[in-house]
Amino acid sequence: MVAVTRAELQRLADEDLMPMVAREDPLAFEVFYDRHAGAAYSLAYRIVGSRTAAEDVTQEALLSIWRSGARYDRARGSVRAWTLGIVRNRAIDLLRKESGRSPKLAAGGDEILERRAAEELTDTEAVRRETAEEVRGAIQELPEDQSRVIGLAYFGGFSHSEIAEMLNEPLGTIKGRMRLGMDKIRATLAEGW
Amino acid sequence: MNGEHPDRDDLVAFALDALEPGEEREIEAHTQSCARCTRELEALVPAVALLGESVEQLEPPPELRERVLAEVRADVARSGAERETTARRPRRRGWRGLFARPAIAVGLAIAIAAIGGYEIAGNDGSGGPEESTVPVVAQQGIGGTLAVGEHSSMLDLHGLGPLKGQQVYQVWVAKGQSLRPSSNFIPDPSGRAMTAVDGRLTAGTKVMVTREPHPGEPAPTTPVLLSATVQ
Repeated sequence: MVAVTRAELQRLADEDLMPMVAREDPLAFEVFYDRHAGAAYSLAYRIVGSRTAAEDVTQEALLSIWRSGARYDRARGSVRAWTLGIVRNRAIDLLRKESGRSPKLAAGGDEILERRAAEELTDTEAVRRETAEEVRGAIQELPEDQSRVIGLAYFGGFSHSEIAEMLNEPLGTIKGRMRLGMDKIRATLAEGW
Repeated sequence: MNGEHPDRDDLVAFALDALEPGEEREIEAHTQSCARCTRELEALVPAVALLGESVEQLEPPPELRERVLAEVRADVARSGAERETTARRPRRRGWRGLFARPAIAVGLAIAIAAIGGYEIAGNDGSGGPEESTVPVVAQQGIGGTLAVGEHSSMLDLHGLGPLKGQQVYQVWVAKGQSLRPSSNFIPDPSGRAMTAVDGRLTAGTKVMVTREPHPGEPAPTTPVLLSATVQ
């Protein structure tokens, strides 16, 4: 077996790194961690609203990727999207287990976004963060009533019926807002994000 | 539902995981045999994924990195010790040896799979009440279980033959007329493998495994080695 250095691993694309993680290469996993743990932790924190819980969710999700053999399939989207899907499911499961789940969005749609000073970044991570910033901009451009219902569903784990009750709006209105908002995000994607 | 197909509103809510369980089951049942709605849902995936990228980026604490990587290193150490123990253990003709007789291989695979499945559920307290196990119908001495969870499932297999060159074992998920590749994996030297099957597996969904010449095939190119149908 030929040993691969950290520098070589860092040059690999995500899609080429994952088979090495699947072969239980701890150095490859370390590179994977350094690339995606920030986004994973950020999403977990956004959903669970506590640093301690976000750490637990991130740890469980990333270790589940490691322990399941990193069964990433490139036909199903980017490694980042796949990882965040796993993190989101773990975080929502945690929310649903808690009896008094209280996503921050209930008070107002603008809380979808929270500000933190960026630290020193690698070029790749800087590009990723710039992209995330652009995506945030696109979502911010949604009418508030649309971004709010989408946020309550995705980040809060609420069903459309629960959202309708929470906002005291007809179910059909909530469903329509979700569709309109997601159609706009899809249109933004089609424009070349 | 709008005539034959669900409303687009409901498909969008489904993609956002925002339907009630009963509504969700209706959509899942419908998409098993509707390529149009399956395509519509697939088209929503990138937009939903974008939401996860949209949050303000935070720096995770360095202690988290230390904790996670310490677990990884411990796993590697344990795995190495287990491999060493297995290599030293003398081979014996136990129940797995019976798979050498092809005429009874399928039946035994089912029976042993059921036992193995309950062992998995018992070992994993995080599975929750919604987790269930499905026997795997296998050929050629392969056996195992599929533990079905709410958001992802786990295939636990044994008796897998060694691979050559770029070969991988590939998991496929078939639902109605749609077929998608899921994970691919390489078994350990003893022929065991555990692999995650992502996504929600609904009733009637069939999970299959083939041995492919290399990763990334869009459709199976070799015969199905085993399959499990979610009840």
